[in-house]
Amino acid sequence: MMPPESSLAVLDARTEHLTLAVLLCGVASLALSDFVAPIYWSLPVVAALLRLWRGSSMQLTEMQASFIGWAGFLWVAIEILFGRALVVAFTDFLLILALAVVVELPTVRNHLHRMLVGLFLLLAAAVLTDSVLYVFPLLAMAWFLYRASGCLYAAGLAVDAGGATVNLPATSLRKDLYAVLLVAVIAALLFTLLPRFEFHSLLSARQPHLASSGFSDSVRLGDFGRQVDTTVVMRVEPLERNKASVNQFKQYLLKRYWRGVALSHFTGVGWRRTKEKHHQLFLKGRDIAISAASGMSVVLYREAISHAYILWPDGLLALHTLPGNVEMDGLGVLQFERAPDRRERLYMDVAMQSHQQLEMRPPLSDESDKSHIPNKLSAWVTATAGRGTAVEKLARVIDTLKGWRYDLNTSVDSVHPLAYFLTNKRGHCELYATTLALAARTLGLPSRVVNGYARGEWNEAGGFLMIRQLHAHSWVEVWLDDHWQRMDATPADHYQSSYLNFPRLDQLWESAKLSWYRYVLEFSGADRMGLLQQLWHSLKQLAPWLGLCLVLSIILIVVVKQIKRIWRCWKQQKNQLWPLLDRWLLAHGIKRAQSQPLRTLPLPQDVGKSQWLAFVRAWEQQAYGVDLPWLKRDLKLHLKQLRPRKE
Amino acid sequence: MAYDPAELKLPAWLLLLLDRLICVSLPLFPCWKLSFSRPGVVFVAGLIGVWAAALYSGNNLLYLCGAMLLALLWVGLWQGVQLLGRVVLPVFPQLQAASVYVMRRQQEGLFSSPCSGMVQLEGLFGREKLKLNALCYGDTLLWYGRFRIQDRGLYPCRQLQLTTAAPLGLFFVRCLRQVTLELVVLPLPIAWFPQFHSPDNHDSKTPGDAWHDLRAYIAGDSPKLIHWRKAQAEPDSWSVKRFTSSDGIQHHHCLKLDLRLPAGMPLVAFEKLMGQAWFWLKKQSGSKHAQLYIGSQRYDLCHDADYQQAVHALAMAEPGLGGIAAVDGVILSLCNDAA
Repeated sequence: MMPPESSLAVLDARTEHLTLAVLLCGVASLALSDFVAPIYWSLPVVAALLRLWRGSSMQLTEMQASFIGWAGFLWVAIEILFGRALVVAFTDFLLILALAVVVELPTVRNHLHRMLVGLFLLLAAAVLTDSVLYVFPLLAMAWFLYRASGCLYAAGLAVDAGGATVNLPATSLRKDLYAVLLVAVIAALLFTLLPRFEFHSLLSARQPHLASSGFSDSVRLGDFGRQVDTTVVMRVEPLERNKASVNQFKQYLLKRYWRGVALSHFTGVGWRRTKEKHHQLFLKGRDIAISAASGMSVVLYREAISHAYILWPDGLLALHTLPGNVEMDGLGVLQFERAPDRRERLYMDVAMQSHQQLEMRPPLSDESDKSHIPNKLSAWVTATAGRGTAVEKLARVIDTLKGWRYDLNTSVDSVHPLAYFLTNKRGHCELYATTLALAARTLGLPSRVVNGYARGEWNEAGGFLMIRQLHAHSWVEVWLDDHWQRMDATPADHYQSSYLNFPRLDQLWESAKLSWYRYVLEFSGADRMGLLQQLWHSLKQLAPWLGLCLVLSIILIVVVKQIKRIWRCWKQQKNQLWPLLDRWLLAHGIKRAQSQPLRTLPLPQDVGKSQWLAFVRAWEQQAYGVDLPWLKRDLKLHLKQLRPRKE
Repeated sequence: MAYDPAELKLPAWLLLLLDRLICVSLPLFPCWKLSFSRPGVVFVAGLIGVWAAALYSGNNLLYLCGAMLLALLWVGLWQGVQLLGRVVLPVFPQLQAASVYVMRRQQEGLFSSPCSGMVQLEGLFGREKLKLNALCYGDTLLWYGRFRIQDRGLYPCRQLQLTTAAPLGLFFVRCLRQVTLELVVLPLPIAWFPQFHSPDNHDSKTPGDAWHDLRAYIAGDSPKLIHWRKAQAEPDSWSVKRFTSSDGIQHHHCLKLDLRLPAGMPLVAFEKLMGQAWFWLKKQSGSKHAQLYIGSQRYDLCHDADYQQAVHALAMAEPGLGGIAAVDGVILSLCNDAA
C-alpha cells in the first residue's frame, strides 16, 4: 500500500521532529564523552536548531548531503593518520554524518538514516563515556525511537476507506508513555538478570585519565597537594549496606591516611622513589592477604587516575579479587602494572584499629642519606631540637612546625625551597613533611616522605566516603623501635581548609554517581548473583505477606471489575433510548414491533411529516455511527422538537 | 510498509535474503504466530550485534542499550498481541450477489486500542476468501473493505485470521479466532407488484385515491410511488406514498414461493424468481401480518427470528420438487410458456 501525497505531508510534519530528536539523543549521549571534541557534536546540534528554525529552506539534496559525508570520511582518515584513536575517529565520522542527515531532504530514507545514526551514536557513547548523565539520552532515545517508529509505521497506512482518505492518528501520548515506562522496567530487569562474560575488548568502556601530580617516582617540591581541586578520585563504602556497617565505617575509617607512594631519596629540590630490588607480583583475580586479623570489608571505587598506585588505608588486612596485575614492593607501595584506563573497583578488608601496619623492610641507605640536606635546615634543627634523645628532639621539631602557618598560596622557591620555607614559616604539607623527614635524618633517624590522601569527606546522602584531590597529603615515616612510624607535622589548619563545605546538592550528585557506578557501570556477574540471592532471601522472609498481598490484590481486582461491570450495565440501561422512544411512540398511537426500524413506521399522530422524516434521519445517523450517539437528554430534546405542523 | 530497508539502498541479495527471512513464522502461543517484516529483520540483526558486543566486552552500557532495544521489541510485540486480542469483530453485512459492496463501518467506544495500528482480517467464507482492514486508534475501530461475491448463498466461516504489524511495523503478529459466522448473499431484488397491488391497477381501480402517509424509500420501490415533490437528490431523502385503499387488501401479505424449476428453464430464471421474492420480503420488513411460504415452509414475518430465517432460507434456496402450501395468498412461481 503506497502512501498518498497527503499522507507523506503528514509523515513529514510528524516525523521531522521525532527523527531529529532520535538523532539528537545520540549526539547528546556522545557529547558526554571527554574523548569527543565539542566542535564535532556541536555541528549537528546547531544544524538541527537551524533546521527547526528555518524549516524546509534549510535542506540539501541527497547528493549534496552525501558530499558532506564523503568530506567527513576523508577528514577522519587524515585524523587517523595523525594518530587519533580509531574508536574516537569513528565517532567523529558519525557526528559529521549526523550533520549530513540533519540537513538532508526529509525523505523516508532520510528519516531511516537519522534513526540509524542516532542509534549508532548512542552505542558509540556506551564505549566512550561513563557519565551518569548517559541515562537521560538513553531514556529519551527509548521514547523518541518508539514514537518515531510508530509514526513511520502509521504514515504508510493512509487508506482509502470508503472513498475518503483516512490517516492513522498517532497513538496517544499517555499510552506511549505507559509503553515506554514498561520498556524501562523490562530493560532494567534484563540488565539485572542477564549473565556477564567479561572478555575486555576494544569495546570496553573507556574513561579519560584524571590528571594527578605527586603520585610518581619523582616529585618536585611544590608539585603536590597545592591545589584546591574538588575532583573526586576515590569513593569508599562498606560492602554491606546496613546501618550497623555504615556506622562502624563512620566510626573507624573516616580519619585514616590513604597511603600512596613512598619517596626515600631527597634530591635537594624534590623527592625520588628508590628502586626496590624485590617486588611481589599478584595476578589479576588473586587476593593479597596482609594480615589475618578481623576487620570490615569495604569497596573502593578508584577513578581512572593518571598514576598506577593503589591507595590503601592504615590497617589494611587484605585486597580481594584484584582487577589487574598488581606489584607490591618492600615499602608497601601497591601499584598496577600500568595505570588502568577505566574505573576499577577494589575490595578491601580493613582493621578497625588503624595501628595494624603492613610489615615493611628495614631502612636502606637512601632513607638515611643527608647529602642534600640544606645547611640552613641542619642549623635550624640544631637550634630547635634542643637536648635529649633523638625522639624527644624530633618531637620538639614537630611541635615547632605545627605552630607555623599552613598556606597553599605561598610560592615555593624552585632552587632553595626549604630555605625559603624556613624563612617564611608558612607553606603546604609537602614542605612540612620534607622538613620533618630531613630533620629526622639530621637527628640520625631514617625517614621518608609518603604521598597519599588524608581523611576525606563523608557523604551523608549516599553514606560513603569521598576522597577528593584536595585531600592529597604528605606525611613522614620514621624508623623508630624497629618499625616505620607515621609522623605528621602539618598544622591542623590543613584539615580545616581541606574540609570545604560542599552544598547538599553536590552530595546528592556524588551519591547518584556512585549509584551509577555501583549498579550500572560496575555491575558484574557476582553482583547479579548477590542481588538474586538477596532477593530470594527477602522473598522467603516476606512470603506470607506477599501471599496475603497477592490474595488481597486478586480480590480487589475482582471486586473492582464487578463494580465496573455493574456500573456499565446500569449506565447502559440508563442510556438505553428505545424504551423511551417506544413510550413516546405509544403515546402518539404507534406500536413498534421489536427490532422494527423507524423508517418503516407510519407517521405518529400530531407530528409533521417532514419533521418526522428529519427525526428518523437524525436517529439513523447517530445509530449507525455517522453522528455522535445520543444520550437520553438528546433524544428528549429531539422529541420535544417534534411539534405538529400543517403540511 | 512505511519504512523499508530497500529505502536504504541495500544490495539486492540482501533484500532477497530479507524476503526469505520474513517468510519464517515463529509460533508464539497456540493459534498465534509471529513473523518479521523487512525492517524487523534488520532491527533484530542489529540487536543481535549489540548483544554480541555487550556479551563480548562486558560493557554494561552496551548491556543497557541492548536491554532497552530488546524491551522495545517486546513491548511492541505485547501491544500488537493486545491489539489483536481486543479487536471487536465487525458485523458482516448482507451482500447482494454479483455486486460490489464497499464497507466502511466506524465503531466507537466498543474497545480501547492499546496503540494505533491497522488490523487485517482474512477468512474463508465457503469457497470465497474475504479480506477486511481495520484502522484502530483510541476507542475507534474503522472497518473498511470491498467485497464481491458472484453467487447467492449462505457462506459459513469457522475461522478468521487477524494480522497486525502495529505498533512499530517491525513484525507481524497473526492470530486465529474460531468463529461461527455466516455471510448472507442475497439476489438482486427485482421489483414486481401483485396484480391487485400494481400501481397501474391501483391507479385504474382507485383513481384519485389519496395517499395517507409516507414511508422511507427502499431500493426497488416503483418510481411512480415516490413522492417526487418532497424528494431531494439523495435516495435517503426519498419517501414513498402509502395508499389507504391498499391497506384494506390483506391477502397480498401472504406470499407463496414455488421452488419448482420447470424442465428446460435456465437457472437464471430461478435466480430472478428469488430476486422477486427478496424484493417482496424487503417490503414486508416490520409488517404485522406478512407470511412467507418457501415451498411448504412457513415464516411469520412479524417475528424477527422468523424474518431472519426467511432471509437465510431465501439465500440458500435451490430448485426443488416440493409443492406449495394450500393457503390463500400470492403465488410466485416459474411457468414455462413454451412447455
